Amino acid sequence: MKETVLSTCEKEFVPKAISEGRRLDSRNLLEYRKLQIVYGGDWGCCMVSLGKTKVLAQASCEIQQPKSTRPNEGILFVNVEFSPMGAPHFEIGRPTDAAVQCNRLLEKCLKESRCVDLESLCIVADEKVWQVRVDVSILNHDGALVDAASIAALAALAHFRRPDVTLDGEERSSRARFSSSFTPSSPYLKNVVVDPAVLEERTAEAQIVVGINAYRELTALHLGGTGSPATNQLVMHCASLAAVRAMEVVRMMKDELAKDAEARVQKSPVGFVQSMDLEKVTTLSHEAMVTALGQLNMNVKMEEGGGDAASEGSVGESAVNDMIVESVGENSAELVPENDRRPKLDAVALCVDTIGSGGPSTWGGKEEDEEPSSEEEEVQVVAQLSPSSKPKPPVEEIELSESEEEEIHTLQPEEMNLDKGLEDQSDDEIMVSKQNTAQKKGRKKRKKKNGDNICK
Amino acid sequence: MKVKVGDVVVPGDIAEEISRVKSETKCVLGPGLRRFSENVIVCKSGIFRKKNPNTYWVDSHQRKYIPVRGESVVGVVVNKSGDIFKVDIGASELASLAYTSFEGATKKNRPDVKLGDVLYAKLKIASLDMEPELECVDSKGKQSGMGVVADDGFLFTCSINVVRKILSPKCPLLKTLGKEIPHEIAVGMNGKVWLKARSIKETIALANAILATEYITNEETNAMCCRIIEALQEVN
Amino acid sequence: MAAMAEDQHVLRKMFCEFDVLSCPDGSAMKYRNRSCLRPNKLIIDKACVEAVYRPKVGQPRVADKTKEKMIGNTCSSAILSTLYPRTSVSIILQEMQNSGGLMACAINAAYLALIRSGIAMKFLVAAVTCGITKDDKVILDPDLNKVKDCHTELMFAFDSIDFNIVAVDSSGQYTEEQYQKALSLCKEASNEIFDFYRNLVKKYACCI
Repeated sequence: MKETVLSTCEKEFVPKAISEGRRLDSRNLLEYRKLQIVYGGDWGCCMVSLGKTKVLAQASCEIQQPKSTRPNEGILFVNVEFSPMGAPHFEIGRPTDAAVQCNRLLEKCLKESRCVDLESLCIVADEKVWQVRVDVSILNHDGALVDAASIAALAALAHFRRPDVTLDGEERSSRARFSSSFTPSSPYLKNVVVDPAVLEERTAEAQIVVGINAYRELTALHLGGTGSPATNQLVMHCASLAAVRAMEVVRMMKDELAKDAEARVQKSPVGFVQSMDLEKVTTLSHEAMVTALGQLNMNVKMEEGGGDAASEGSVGESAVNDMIVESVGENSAELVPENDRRPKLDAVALCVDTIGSGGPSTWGGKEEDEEPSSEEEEVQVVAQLSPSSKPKPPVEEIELSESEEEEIHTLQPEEMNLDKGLEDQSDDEIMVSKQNTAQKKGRKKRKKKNGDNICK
Repeated sequence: MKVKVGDVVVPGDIAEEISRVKSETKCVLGPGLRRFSENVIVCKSGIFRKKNPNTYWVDSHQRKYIPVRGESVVGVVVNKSGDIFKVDIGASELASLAYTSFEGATKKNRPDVKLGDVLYAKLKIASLDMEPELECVDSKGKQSGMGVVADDGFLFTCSINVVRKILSPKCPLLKTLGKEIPHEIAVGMNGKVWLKARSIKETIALANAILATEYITNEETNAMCCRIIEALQEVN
Repeated sequence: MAAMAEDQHVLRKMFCEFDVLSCPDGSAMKYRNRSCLRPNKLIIDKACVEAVYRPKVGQPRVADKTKEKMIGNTCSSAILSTLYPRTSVSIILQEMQNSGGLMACAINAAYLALIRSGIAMKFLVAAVTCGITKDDKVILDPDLNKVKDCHTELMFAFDSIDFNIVAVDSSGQYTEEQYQKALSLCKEASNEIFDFYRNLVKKYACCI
């Protein structure tokens, strides 16, 4: 089945709206859709939804012979599956160009960022290593697939527990280390739009995909499209936007991970079912509707702001415009209005929530019964993997290397030293750094050195 | 399971009421119902409805459009070949539209239709075994609102239930909003809606309002409209 | 998700949500599977029903192809395919979590998606799994823990009119008596699934 053809009016309307600073779902240009990360019942499984885009990722591993060129390194394999579930024009076994590009980009991003310590995946050098495999399947396509896929892949890796094999027994632990990488894509050269929906993606002049981790290290950069060539500033702008987003995403990922870990410790049920609200008709798709409605009201509010600056706290149009013009360095300024808006959005969403919820469901009533068995299931999983040792609470084992970075919000290059210092404290595998240059080149070198350290 | 009018039905249910209708009176079976020996069996899930005297059907949820003769649809011109335009109306295959099916069109005087144009047209032929065919003239050869819509505006797709909902006389959405926000709209029974208001902002607001009606009842729609209008009046 | 009744003759609780996906024509998310559907063009005098099953890890294997075939056959038995000539109905299932009874869940999810898509069907089908434990007890809808105690698993699919068997899938050894017992148990349980279907339609009736 072919992809549907866009009509002329769609092609014209979207760019026109964007040049006015408006988007179809009434976000402003630099606003992201709601990100939701749900961890599944299995280890290393998660579903990420970014607005209507939905992606499922599952990490798994198996023992394999290493590549002869790298005998003491494990293998990381990424596979992004575009099944027709995502969109009717995706076909199984015949990946489109976009699919191949997405796969390559993601693989590059995860490998180059060294978010998985491949050397720790080695069991016996030259003979047996772990191959970590991440399967990402696109469940629904509504733009920004690379974003969603990369978040999902990373979240799955962070959630994954690798069985640790020694020669005389089996023990479970997770020592794989994860830093974060993230890839926002931003089409429109003149007006940078983040997190495009599918229609915006298709009408865009050009697209920039930036892979960046939470320490502002670029891991991938992809430019594409038919528009006029991107300028230096534009790329820098996009990269700095990406850096802010990467921090946010990683923070959220960790929060969800901690929640999941806590739920597992308390033996409360985990998994996708928990993400479904049984009282309402639409829990997972509900989001989109609330946004449509809520932001409709937001729209009106914006008008008020434009007309009457005194009307409390509402984001005036002028403010929105300011944000777009704002120079690259002031990311914090860009974020502030967004934070301001959030509670308001929630308030709107709350009053809207009652609409369309369809009332409580009248059937069922066995909710309490559901817990025991799921609990049992969890215990069983743990027991299966660690016959010799008692299961430790998973919280201790979550080892996101930048766990202390949360407090730092500013992103000025001068502060990078501080960032790095904190990171190193929390990271027991990397030696304390000798030089802390904020320059990218310097940092890359350092990375290599660390790699050597681990080798030894 | 035996069901009566107003019930929620699933495929396999028996509509007993219809079997009791006297054989000499005329009885119309709408979508979702079919005869099976003595009984009338439900074949779609939804709500069983009746219109006097003897018209029965099942209201069900649907997103894929299945062409029905005489219905007005909105489509996008995707191909031109010879004397025929191919129009995407969201059905399983493209509909065809002849050059001559426009008002005043002759072989020499061809209508000005470009690829990517949005059309409001009527289904002339819609049969399961044949390609659907469109026309942009009524029986008198007049255009009567059909044809290519304006270049600007916005086209979006919603479920077929939303279209039915907003077109039903009970639904207050377009009436109430139309008083406050003047707009042009072409609603196709195929779930495609073309919309143009005074500004881009209003167009987006209207489109979102239409999409939002999917999960809400008429009363709630009313409340929503009131809220939007109140908010708008505050601005003015 | 489960009921810990002594006799174990209870199905685990089911969850489903419609319209999770925006692109396909009908979608349903059940606890472990998700499916969607779109009719499209295929040159044939009636609808061609195909199922696509995607495992969570790796590429589909032979076992998955068998599943696809079975789901496709089970679905085409109910779909009024003569009403949709020259179309193909694709049912795409993605495994999301396996807690036992995958096959039954896949079939139920496929039917939920068909219900949502508004395709005309003769009847509905409900699939139920049961297992026979090592001490020869028949338990309904075993989860992964209980599957370990079972030497045999049986899956039955019933239609909603006469509760006739539409599909059977079995693995392991069992006696005729055990088979009959499992059959009657599953038949009883399938009622619960049909009620679930109906309630779900009721729940979503507000947007019709």
